[in-house]
Amino acid sequence: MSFLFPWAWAWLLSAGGVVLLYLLRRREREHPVSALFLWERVSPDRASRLERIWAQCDLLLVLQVVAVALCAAALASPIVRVTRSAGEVGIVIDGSASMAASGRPEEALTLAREAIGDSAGPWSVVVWADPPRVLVPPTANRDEALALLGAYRPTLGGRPPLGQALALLPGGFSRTVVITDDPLPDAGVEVLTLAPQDNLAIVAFGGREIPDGTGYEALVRVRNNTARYQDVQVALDTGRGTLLSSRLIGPGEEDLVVFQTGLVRTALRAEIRPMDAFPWDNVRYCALEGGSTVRVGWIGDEDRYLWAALQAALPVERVTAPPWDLTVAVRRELPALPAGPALLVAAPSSEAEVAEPVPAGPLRGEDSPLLRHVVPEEFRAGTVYPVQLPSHAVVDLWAGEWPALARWEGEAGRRVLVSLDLGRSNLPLLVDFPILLRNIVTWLLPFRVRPNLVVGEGVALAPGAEVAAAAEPASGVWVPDRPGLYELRRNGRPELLAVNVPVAESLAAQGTAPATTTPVRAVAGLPAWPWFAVGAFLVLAAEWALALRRGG
Amino acid sequence: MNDGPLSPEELRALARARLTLGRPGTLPGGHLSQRRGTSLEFADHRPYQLGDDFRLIDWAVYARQRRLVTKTFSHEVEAPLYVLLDASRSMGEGHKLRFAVRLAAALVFVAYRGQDRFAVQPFREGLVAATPPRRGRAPLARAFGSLGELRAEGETELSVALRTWTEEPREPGICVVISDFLCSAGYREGLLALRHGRHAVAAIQVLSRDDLAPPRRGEVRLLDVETRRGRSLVLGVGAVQAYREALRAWNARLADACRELRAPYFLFESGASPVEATLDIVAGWKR
Repeated sequence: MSFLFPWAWAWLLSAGGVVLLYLLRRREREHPVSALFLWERVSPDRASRLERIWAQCDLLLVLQVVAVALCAAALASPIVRVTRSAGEVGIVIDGSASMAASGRPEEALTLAREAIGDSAGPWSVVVWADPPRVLVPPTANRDEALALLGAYRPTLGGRPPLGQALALLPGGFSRTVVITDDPLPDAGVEVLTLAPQDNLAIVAFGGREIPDGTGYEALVRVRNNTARYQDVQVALDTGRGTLLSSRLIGPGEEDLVVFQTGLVRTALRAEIRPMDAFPWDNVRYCALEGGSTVRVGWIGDEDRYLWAALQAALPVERVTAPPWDLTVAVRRELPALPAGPALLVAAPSSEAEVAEPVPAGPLRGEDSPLLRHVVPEEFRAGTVYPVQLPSHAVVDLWAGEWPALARWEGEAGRRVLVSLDLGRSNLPLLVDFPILLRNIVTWLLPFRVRPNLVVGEGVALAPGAEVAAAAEPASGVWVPDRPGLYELRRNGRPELLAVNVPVAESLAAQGTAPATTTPVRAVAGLPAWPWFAVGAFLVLAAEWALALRRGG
Repeated sequence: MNDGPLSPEELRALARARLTLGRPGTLPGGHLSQRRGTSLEFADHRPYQLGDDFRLIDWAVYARQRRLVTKTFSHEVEAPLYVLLDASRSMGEGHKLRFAVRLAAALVFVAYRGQDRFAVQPFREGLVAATPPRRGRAPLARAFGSLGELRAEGETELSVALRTWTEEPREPGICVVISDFLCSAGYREGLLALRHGRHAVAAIQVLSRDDLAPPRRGEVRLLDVETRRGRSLVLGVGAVQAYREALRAWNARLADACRELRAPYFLFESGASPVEATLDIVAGWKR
């Protein structure tokens, strides 16, 4: 403690005047008693020297002297030196998705408020999100900084390199504090790390075609970022139903859950339970390309049995103008086979020649994904078109010595050739016929996983395309801000886009020890005269009350 | 009556209390004395004595025990209550008068509830007022009013005041003397005069906390509130201890005098509850 005006201590001399006045007007205090005669027999008390001194010491005098001393101290303007953090503080608060976990924003704000309260200012606060933004512009007003701090909201996206956030801080700040739950190994600045939280997360999710063409697989990788074993329930929503599975996953371990499905719709949704403090990675989405209603370009003769079986097998619609998803050619010679998958029904083309029909022999099937769940021995056919297949074609069904069903894959796309004369067979009357067609279409149209997006990842939409976002349709450049499935309308045809939180946000700072960096400390001087003045006032008030109680 | 010295709650607490006398009166009353007499309420047996009424012999006892005993009965009597209240200046110290007034009001209320007559007789050097005992609601209101107006003034001449009071012909009754009994001139003659007047006497001493345990105030001048005489003293541990010894001896002599005069003696601190003090007095007197 130091004093701005040490000479003001001379006011202490006035205490001598108070004592002098007290001695001049000192008299015995009167104490009324009910019966003095009882005291007359009491011999004078042989009090100790200390008791006599204490007896002569008037509390009023003591209080007056103390008040004078406090006044003198206040006039001397004492300065109390307190250690505080450095003055200018730049604060970077992690605003990525992992900070959106329950309780995380409050923890971050608490640390930020402490950093502001522990320093002299000025302050500036930046949110480390994608893109980074200034939350509190440089200000020396502590109340203003604390008020603006309340607008902090973490995003559900990732975070860019720390340098982008630091670049938003004004230069010359002596202290920079980064508040995050996922500290960088060598940030080079003071880092305040939030304690790790338990988290169950889907860290990978996707779909693929089964290599033998019999269907699709959905792969869900689950991570247990807790300190105990977890019985994780995994649910896969295919749009047509929900598949369930469960895994017991150890602490810090991952497990892969594989679901096998048939033909799926355009998107998959995986969810794990139990939910935790960060639910955004408990649900993930996956969009497939080529799903939804199959647009069919029909070439050649009408075949209502074939069309009815196709409609029974999968959602189809017939279109007359390209583009379409699947070409169906029925007994029509195609000089140039269109690009893309094609189902050829006794239709000659440049890739496979078809001759006049001949009597068919007994039907015999091969082990083929196209004959999955059908019984080829029950097929009956009167005639079959002899065909000349490409060398790499695979025959799945034989009618005597002639191929009845074959497939091949060329540069233009996948092809399936049905050389049976359907009108002279029992296939349109069998239940297996739509199943056969479904197997054929599943092989012809292998849905691919559409590149999935993460929150905050901008997408340039084609002219005329728009995304049905929650607020209003977005066009031009669309930046998703929440995970989910979004409908992209392009050329009147809806497609689905899957948006997820970045996987890195599910792996934030597991078991990382809080990084500690010694903050820069500074010594600040606080004026203490108000405290002494208030103390003097209180002492004088007590003295006045005591004097009143004693009756003046 | 809400503005009186006692609150309604305190009055309700006193509603069932009764004073039991040891002195006869001239009018039948609502309470029993311990004196045997004639009434319908059986009290005890005593051996038959020559001259006893044959109708009072308990023949059932004679049949069982072959000895003659006579039945005795409680005698219902009524006696007025005189509250002799010290209102000198010393009673103003430590709220003693306030307590004494509330205690007197409580005793008067007990008498009123017992359909007894009562009178409050304040005194200082002499009697302040001497009213005949009355029963009923209006005298009760007047008594409460006069108690509320009482101020601590003058000096105490307890014996003189009590003797003066007994010089007037009064109906024997219960005399409750409420005072601090801190009068250097003594008190015995006054109490004896009351006994000579065939009154049942109770001495109720009221002392303040400072009277009982004076604080250590260092070098002070003690000032007698009545005589205005003073004495300089260092009020330390030894002086306070010596005073307490002197007070204890004083009170012991007072208790001995009361015992000698067969007068119940009670000591209350001025901070006590007057209701509880009244109930203590009622219970102590019955014993």
